[in-house]
Amino acid sequence: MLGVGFLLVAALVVWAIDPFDPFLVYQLSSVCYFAIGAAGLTVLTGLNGQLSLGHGALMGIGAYTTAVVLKAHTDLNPALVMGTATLVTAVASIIVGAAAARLRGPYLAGATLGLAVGLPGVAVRFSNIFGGDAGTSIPALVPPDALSSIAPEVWLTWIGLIPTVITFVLLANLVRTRYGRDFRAIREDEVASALNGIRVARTQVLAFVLSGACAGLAGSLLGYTSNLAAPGSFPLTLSLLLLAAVVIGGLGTLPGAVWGALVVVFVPSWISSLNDTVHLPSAVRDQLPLALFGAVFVVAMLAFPHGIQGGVVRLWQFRASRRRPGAQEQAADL
Amino acid sequence: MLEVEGLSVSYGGVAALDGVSLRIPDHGITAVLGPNGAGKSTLIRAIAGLVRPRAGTVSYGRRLLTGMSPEAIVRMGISMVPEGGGIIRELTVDENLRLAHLWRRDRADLRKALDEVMALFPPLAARRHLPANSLSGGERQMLAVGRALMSRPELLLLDEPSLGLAPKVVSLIMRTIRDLCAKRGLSVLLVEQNARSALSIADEALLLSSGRTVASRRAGELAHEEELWHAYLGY
Amino acid sequence: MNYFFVLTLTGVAAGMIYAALALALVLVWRATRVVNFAQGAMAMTTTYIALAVIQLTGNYWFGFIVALAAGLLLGAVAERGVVRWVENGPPLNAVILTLGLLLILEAVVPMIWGAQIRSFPAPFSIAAMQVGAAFIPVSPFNLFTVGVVLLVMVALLVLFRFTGLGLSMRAAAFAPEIARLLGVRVGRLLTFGWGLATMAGALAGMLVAPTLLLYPNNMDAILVYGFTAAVLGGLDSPIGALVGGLSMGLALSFIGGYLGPDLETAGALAILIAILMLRPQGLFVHAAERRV
Repeated sequence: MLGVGFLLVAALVVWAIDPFDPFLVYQLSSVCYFAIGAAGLTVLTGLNGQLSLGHGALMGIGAYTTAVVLKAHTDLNPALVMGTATLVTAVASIIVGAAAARLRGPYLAGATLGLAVGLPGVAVRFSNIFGGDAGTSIPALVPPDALSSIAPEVWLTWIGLIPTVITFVLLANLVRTRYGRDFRAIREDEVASALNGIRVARTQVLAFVLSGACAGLAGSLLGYTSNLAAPGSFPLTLSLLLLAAVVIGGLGTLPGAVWGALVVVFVPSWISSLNDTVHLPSAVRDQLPLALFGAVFVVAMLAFPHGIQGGVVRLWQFRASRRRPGAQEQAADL
Repeated sequence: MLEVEGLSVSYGGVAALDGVSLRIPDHGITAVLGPNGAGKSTLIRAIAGLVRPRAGTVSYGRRLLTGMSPEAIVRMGISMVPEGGGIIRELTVDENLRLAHLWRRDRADLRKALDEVMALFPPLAARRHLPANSLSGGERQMLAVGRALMSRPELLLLDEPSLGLAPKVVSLIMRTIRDLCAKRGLSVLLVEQNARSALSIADEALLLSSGRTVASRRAGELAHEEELWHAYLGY
Repeated sequence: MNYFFVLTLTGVAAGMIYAALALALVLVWRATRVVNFAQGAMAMTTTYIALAVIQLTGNYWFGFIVALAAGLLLGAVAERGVVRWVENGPPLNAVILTLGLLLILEAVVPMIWGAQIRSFPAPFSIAAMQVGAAFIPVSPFNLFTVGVVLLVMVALLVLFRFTGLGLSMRAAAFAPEIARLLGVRVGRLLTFGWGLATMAGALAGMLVAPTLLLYPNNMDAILVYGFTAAVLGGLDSPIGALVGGLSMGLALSFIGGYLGPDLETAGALAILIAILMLRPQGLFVHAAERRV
């Protein structure tokens, strides 16, 4: 059902694309990779309870893989390229995930923060492969001759929607399987999960690899969109933006990841367009979106002090319970 | 005089204390007895400001304590010894004791108060600069009571001081409480499962069950009411 | 001059800066069991404030004092204003909240002062000193760095060990509920603890800027180094923060010197992962002191 829904939405979006507005088209491609990355992070953070501040760096692995593969085989089918990027990032995620499975709370956050800050330096160090600070270019996707009437930007969005839909359909089905239940069980209570026969560490690594694979795919698409894999494209801010998309989406739901991606991509340009009426200094305008997302983090955490997963659900429970005298503590303890 | 009026506390919708009233006179020992889960600890924690009541009031003299923070209630002259003593294991014996006097900001009196506690519990003097972690169970309870005395309270709240201690140590603690009460004019609220020890030193007694008051008597009378003992205390 | 010796000396100087930031993280962790991921951004903010004051008054030391005071205030306001409400919640909430503070600060600072890289004055020369005919790879500013961080460490040690305020702070950190029963105003001390921590962070910011320059995310990497140093020291121990900071300074100096400067952050990451795998609770925490 969910998959069909996504397909319908996707088809609608494609129909609605105005091929003469290259900026909008570019933004839609951005929504695609943000949605894929946010969906992966939703599975990890929302469902499994592991926080990663390093998914921006994992997207970097995907983008650099794309660049390196295309440098060797310029005409390789994009599906194969994206598949390779996904696979390579998934393999890298096994290492990160194995470390992450032993870490909790702020330790995990700190370790993945190190990943976000440290990994771009590796690309600079091995500049003969990765092109140093300037990065490596990625050739633009060109539509096949039969469809040459389509602008390359529009074609990119078409292509971008395919992995997005596939990712969401696969993840939506996965969260309904035993693995999805295990992810959630571990988030709620690790000890109880272990007693129920769930292999906690292995399942946590699986969640990380799955989510890392999504980041790799997202990174590959980011590379195709920006035609570049460079250290500056994967700052800590990218990881935080992914997290912002997940938090805005309500943490833990896949449709939320799409909403989050839309907000993360369109709010900055909306603020730019706001400038036509309200004249903000350019420094303020450029930074306002980040400040807003930061404020969203703070407000969301203050609004849902008892856990962010399903915070909205709890808000409703709390409001319902306020009508019954004496039930307040009950809601507060949830 | 500490007055508790219709105090109700609930945890997660479950009532732990349901309309309990109690008066603690300015001198003497009041024992609160009852089986496990009767609400004894909740009562003492509510008086000390650690849990917020759902209904009812606690007042001391003419001041309303309900809604005050624990640190403000200590400043009213009410000290609590939590269950198990609550000594801070990472600090030394000396530091544990000093800590309770700090808010008075009176260095001269600090030294005096320390000497008094050391005289009262000589074993603590020998271990004064050791980590509290290294004390035996009985010594920990001495430290806990001594520490509560450091803030020079008028009313001492004791939560299960006999818990987990050998009978000999229990009777030592009980004797000390009795003496303190007589010599310093303290009033004491003593929450105990060990009803016999508590009644041996108490003046007044309150029997709680399932968060309600079952009986309120002179301690000497309660000690002889066999039906109540069988029904609520199991022996 | 022996290259190894040069790297050792630069490593010690850098390590003191990491130690200052690690100290900030440790103080916050001790007080509230929160890792403040905005610690670097807060230090960056106070350093911008210092730069404004220095440019206004032309006096470095005015800026220095103002930076520390601003740190005290910023930390206290953050704790009392927002962190207070997540202190006893799930750890994930506290982490995301401090990340929110990081984003806000790293966005608001360039709104006020612009995003361009700025040079920052030093009170002493940052050039290597000359002794006789030989240059030793230590600048007067390096000596200042080592001295001022050591001074702060000693001051904190005195505070915690020998004053009533320090005793109350330790009690509030170890057993907040018991401390309240003994009349300790725990809430105020947590606020003060955050203020003190952010002051230490502000010091780190002031020490970083002259050599590594000032820009809105100039402390991101330092935060990772400081966090690694703090974890190395057990996250609970100010002495551990010093030892951890020095170890990180040396390790990164050798990694940068022998393998390439771009690998410093990656090296920090490798060290962090290695420590966390071996001793997830850090190296300087005794087993008995660990609480569940």
